[in-house]
Amino acid sequence: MPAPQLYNYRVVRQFAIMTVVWGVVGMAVGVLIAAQLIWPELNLAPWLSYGRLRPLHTNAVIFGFGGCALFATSYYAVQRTSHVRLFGDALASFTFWGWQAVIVAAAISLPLGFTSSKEYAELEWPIDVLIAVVWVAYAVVFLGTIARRKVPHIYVANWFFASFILTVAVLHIVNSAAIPVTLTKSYSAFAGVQDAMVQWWYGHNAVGFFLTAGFLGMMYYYVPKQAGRPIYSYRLSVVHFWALIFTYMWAGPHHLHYTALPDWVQTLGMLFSLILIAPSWGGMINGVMTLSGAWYKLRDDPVLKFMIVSLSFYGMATLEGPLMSIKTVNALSHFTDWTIGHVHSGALGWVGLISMGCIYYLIPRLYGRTEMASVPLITLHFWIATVGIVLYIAAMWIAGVMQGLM
Amino acid sequence: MSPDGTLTYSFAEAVKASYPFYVVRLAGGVLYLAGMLVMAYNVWKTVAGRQPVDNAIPPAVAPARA
Repeated sequence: MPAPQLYNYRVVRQFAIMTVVWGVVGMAVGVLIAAQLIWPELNLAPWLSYGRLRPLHTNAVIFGFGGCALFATSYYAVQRTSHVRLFGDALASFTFWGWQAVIVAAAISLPLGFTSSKEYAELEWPIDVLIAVVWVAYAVVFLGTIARRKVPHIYVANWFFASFILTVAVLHIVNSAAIPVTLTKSYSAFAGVQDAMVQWWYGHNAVGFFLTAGFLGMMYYYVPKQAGRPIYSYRLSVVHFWALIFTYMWAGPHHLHYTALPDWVQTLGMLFSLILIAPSWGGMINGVMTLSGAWYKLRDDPVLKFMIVSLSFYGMATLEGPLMSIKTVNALSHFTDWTIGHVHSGALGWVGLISMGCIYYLIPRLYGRTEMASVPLITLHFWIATVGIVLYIAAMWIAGVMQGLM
Repeated sequence: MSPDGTLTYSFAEAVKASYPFYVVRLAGGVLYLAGMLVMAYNVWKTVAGRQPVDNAIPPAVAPARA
């Protein structure tokens, strides 16, 4: 009998470790720029100034920390639920090294001042090309693995991961379309209000697919695994999947209220944003209710605490977002720190905590252990992170509403 | 807003009023980063000196009925 086939955990390990590394780097830059807003003297040099470090912070945490977490968790979950080794060992390895090259290039080019000035898509065109190549390779590896699966059913987590991968490819390629002038300078292929609309179609779906659908994929595999319970409602997971991916596509215009964008487009964006409450809460309820009958596990499993509290923040942020998209509320909230608070309740609360929970699940399993070296330290991490989030968002709520009223 | 349509407060006044909240925000950010450093230490203690393990793929099972 031949030796048993092994799962490809190597690439999962690489991405899991780099999730932690980029998390530390990206969050440290965030702390620095928060300090610069209090003490402007900390803008020590042009390449250390707030304007250049802010996009570095967002790129490092979204694409470095969040991106590596998505690669690691999706590569692990798709193999485990398909009962087959990851498609293309060399290609999977290329996605790792290619993605690290993208983040390193961002960490060098952004402080040097090279930017396309599109929010969350600041990187200049040569890096954009590399992102597109790596992303297509990611799609081939992921979908290739599903195509070779030994299990007839495609588990719902894989639907979320696959939709996130395909949509991000489309968003990135369309929004980054540009006319290069030199190696470090390009002009957007779109102009005026069309450019703004394409940018926020990208920007909001980067939130909806990169930071939501992908992380819901994580939730649907790792929450049931950690809880040792099946998903609360598989039917609900399928219904809210289609509702979510259909509705998110239309919500972008709420970033452009009271601009040159036609009024009806703004109203359409607001309406779809409000509709989004339903599919978002479908996911939140499904995740939290997966614990029904096993609530006692929350008492002494800190990894589960990370996951369930992340879902609470997800529910809160996806109610707050639609409220802020209402034109009259937006008149108060736009261009204030309320927006910053809202983003961080989603980013630190939902994306951050669910990623950390999943990495705590993965690391011991990838190194032949049953649990992390120290479980009390996971509990400590949970509490200081949660208190940190509450301080952050409460401060920004108050500051934001105050600024809006002043 | 004033009755004549101008803003009651200048931008600089709004920045000044935001100051204490920026300090609280920094404190929250420092805590969150500290948590990430605790995680990095814990991950290091978990993986240092350990051999990576790749699990075996379970043998094929009979396909379930549709």
